[in-house]
Amino acid sequence: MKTKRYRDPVIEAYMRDVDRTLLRENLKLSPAQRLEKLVSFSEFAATLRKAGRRVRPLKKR
Amino acid sequence: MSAQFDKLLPLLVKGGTEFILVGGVAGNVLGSARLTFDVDIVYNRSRSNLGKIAKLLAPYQPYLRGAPPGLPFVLDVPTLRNGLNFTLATALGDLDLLGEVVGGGGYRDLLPHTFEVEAFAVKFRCVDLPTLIKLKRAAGRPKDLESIAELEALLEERER
Repeated sequence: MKTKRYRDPVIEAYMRDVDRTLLRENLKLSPAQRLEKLVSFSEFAATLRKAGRRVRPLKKR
Repeated sequence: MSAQFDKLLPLLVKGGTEFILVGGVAGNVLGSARLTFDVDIVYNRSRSNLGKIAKLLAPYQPYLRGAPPGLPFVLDVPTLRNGLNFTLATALGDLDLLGEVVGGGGYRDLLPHTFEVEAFAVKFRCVDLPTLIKLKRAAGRPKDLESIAELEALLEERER
């Protein structure tokens, strides 16, 4: 029989907002694939940051 | 600067360093969907390992992250021996070298709570999910609350 672990009520409250569909998709991947996804996502975020930096000086004019 | 995970981890492995992946990247290995920008590792503090870390990172200009430029900081064996946890900026991105972590201890303490990961054509040790949750809880940082919730949900999903 599975026993329910004690969990902090604050954590329980945060858990309601966790998007489990993302977790389920990740769990279908191997650890290597998950890391490749992280690399790809962080490169995308870096591209966005660079684009943001290019736009910022224009706003000052 | 976001860490180049695909370069940093193979560099450490190919250089023969002993380390355990913890933190956000470990969370991603375990299935977390949260984006992280730095690599956190718990490193073995043996003299030979410190030498390997210092030698491997030297070409990538390791410097104390957030510190004013121009400090006489050199990441060599004496620095590593005299310190414990280093939050570094390197040419390959941000790297946290942790000699010990709250709730987990050092490299040898954590080793039984790890598993081997094969990624980027190398193999390395990563902390397991229950231990990562324990470490995040022990750190007691408000910013980790969402992350802990996600990791707990991950644990439930894995047990389904």
